[in-house]
Amino acid sequence: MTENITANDSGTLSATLQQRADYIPLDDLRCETAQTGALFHRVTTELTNRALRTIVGPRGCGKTHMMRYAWLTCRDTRSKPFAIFASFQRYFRLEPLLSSNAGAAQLFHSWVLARILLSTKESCEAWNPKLDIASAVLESQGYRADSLLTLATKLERNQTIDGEWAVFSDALSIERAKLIIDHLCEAAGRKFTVLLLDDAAMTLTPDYLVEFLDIVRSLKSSTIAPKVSVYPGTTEMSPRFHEGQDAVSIPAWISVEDAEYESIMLGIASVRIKNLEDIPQDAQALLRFAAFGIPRAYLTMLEDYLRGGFRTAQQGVNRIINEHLAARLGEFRTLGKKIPKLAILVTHGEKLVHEVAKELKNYNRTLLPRLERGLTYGLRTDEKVALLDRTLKLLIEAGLIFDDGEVKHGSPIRIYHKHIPHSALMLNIGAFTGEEGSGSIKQNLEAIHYKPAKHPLRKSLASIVGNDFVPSLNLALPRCAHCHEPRLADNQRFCHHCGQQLVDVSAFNQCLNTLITEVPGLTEWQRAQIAENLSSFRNIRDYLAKQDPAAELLTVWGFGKRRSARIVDVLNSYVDDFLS
Amino acid sequence: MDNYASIVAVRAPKAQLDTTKFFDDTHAETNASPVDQFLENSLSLNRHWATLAPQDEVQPELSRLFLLGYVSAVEGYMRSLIRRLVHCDIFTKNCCESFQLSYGAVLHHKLASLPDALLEETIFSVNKAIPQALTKFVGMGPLSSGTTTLLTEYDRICQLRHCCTHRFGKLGVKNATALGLSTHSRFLEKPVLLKKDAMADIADLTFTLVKSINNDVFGFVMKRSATSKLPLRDAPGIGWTWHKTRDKTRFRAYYDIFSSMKDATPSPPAEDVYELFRNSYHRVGQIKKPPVDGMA
Repeated sequence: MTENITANDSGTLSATLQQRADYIPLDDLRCETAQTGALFHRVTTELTNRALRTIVGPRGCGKTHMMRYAWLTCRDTRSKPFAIFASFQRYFRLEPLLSSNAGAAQLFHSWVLARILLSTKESCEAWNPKLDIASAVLESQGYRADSLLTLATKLERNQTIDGEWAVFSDALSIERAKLIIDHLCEAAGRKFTVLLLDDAAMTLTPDYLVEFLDIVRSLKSSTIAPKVSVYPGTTEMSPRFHEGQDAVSIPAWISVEDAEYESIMLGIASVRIKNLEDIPQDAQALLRFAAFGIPRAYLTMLEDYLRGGFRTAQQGVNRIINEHLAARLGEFRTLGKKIPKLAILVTHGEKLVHEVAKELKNYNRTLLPRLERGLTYGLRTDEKVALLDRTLKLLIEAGLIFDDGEVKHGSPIRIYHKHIPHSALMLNIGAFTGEEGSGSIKQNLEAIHYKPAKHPLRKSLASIVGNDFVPSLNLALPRCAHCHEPRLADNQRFCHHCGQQLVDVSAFNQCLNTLITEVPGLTEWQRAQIAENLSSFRNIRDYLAKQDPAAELLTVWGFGKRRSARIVDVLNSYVDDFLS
Repeated sequence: MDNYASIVAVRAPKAQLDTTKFFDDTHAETNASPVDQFLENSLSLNRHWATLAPQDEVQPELSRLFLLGYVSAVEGYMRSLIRRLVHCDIFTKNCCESFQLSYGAVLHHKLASLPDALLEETIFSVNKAIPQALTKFVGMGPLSSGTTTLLTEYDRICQLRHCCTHRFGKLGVKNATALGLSTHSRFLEKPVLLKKDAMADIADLTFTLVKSINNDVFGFVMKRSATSKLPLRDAPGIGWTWHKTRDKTRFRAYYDIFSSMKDATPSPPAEDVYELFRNSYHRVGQIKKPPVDGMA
């Protein structure tokens, strides 16, 4: 898969950019995996059993890591199934098809199958011992590996699929893909196959998601068990996929309130961060809490701390947490750009999470003297209207709110849905100090370790965000491109003013104008490095338009082949991540 | 009242039909592209129901006429497209050389509209006719699978159209069979009733179908103009130079047939489309160099 370069390749852009599991070389994956906690074991067990499962959690919570680890475990354990790891991160690149090609669904279908078959071949090549017959098996069904790759690339670049390519694309079938997988599984001497389908949330194109889940259901057989990684709430977007009936969902996101939280996060840091002992225990503990159950966030913050550039631990921790929070909020805001329809819900959502956190700060004022603290807000389920629910889902999906399930209170019984706002936001507004300012590390840690309050904060949403908040939630439906009349309904197909057909413009094409330095997920330091060293890649369009960005880096920097290739890999992953 | 056969009152028509008065001779054929003509025609139908207040509905008998209108607009598009292509595209012209025209058409049509006469016997209100005509007159292979799916749907509209044209909207057995007897048998001899939502479904389908055919044919014709060999020529293609200014007129001729100015999202400018076209085919005919060893 990826070439092996040590994480200590110091001073380069690449080493500091890598917190993403996709870019940990496979050989390092095992020793860089913390095998601690019930959660970890549960997820790996579920990933290698015979059933259809969805792995649920927001970005960076370790879904990819666990899938790759499960793949590795399968490879090296004879009693485990055959495993195939496939990523669908680039689905958004097919979004322009939705507004330019009537056969978008069919093309997407072919793309998914092509990606699965290519990954099948890749898995066979990395298998131990190597399965050399993969290409021959593919060809026996009429699929040449290089044709599959060309087709997938053509689709991702929105090139025309015609003539022989159209024939080839139509010839890709689920049935034959299953035959190929079964054949290779048998060749590997395993009883069944787990199909690890990563980055399958497809948030930005619900049309594709529905199609994708249909494919997943059809792929499931007595010998093939698909495992799908999604964001919280994803599968509810498909009318034809039923959680519980079609698949059981496995949470991969751990709550900060979980008893094992500390040990799990600590375990991950100790295998992934080389000089962990250089960071004071207190600082580590606070960053751990601020990571909000997202290992990637924790690792990035620790790396940031090790890089220094501050006078006191307090100053460093504050800065890092605030930067992290700003990045999360920034990432959330880009949703409004990627799905223009949701722009209003996104701005309102940001306000909602802020106001709820402030209210929790007030709540803690009464709790702290009793040596208790509260992180949870309980929203009465009968207060939830459709658009408010959608807004909360967006926040949960982006990892800004943790969905802690429902709880019943009182008689007559009232049902509350528990929500925990992002811990970095709580620290940022000083929710644990009982006073103004964000408080010292020690003060915060002390309060965090207090007993959790028995009940969540129960207060009507209207009293927190105001009476006009919920009524003002609305979908920002795009105007008619011809006469600019606002639409009346989401499902409207013709303008009620001029009669023109309403076709949404491609959000993907608009996203390409984003500056590379504005891509969320990059830290200040990374941004500076890119601006300084990668002046020829200004926006994402420039970057994607380059036929061979690595060659460009070679000339600009006089860097070695391997290092340039690595940087391109990592930058690709950030751009891919933004465009997904 | 001696005659029992005079069962209803009859009056002779007051005027003799003069069909020459029934046409608009001031109309001049616009230069609009076929797809723009389609849009113009269909939009005039759309406005009748899309602009109604939420509580209002289209009158059933009018809605059935709109249905005829939409199918007619699709047919009009196909005719106009093929006619324009015969004029502009040498490959299409070659395809049509061997077809015969009626003597009357040759005598009375203007030269420019002669290709119209080619299509005199062709109807486009059954789904198979569209790909067949494109193969026969343009030399095109199969349409994209997306368009093919739409054509299957279009056939269902054509079945409804048949009911509206010949039976004042009531469903006949033959049409019910085509639509699926198991699901439609209970509607036999029941009239087609199209509400606003149904109108939107139908219009949406015809819009998408026409735009989709338009893009498919454009893709095919342009590719052929760059890659296929004409008889008596050594190099493939019709002689693109891949110099923007030198290719401008020739490209413009094709662009004008396929682009839309009237759509809510108009086509990108000719220069942009040319650029993409050139990127795709400017290497055609060159001897392939072995690929330079790239990086992983």
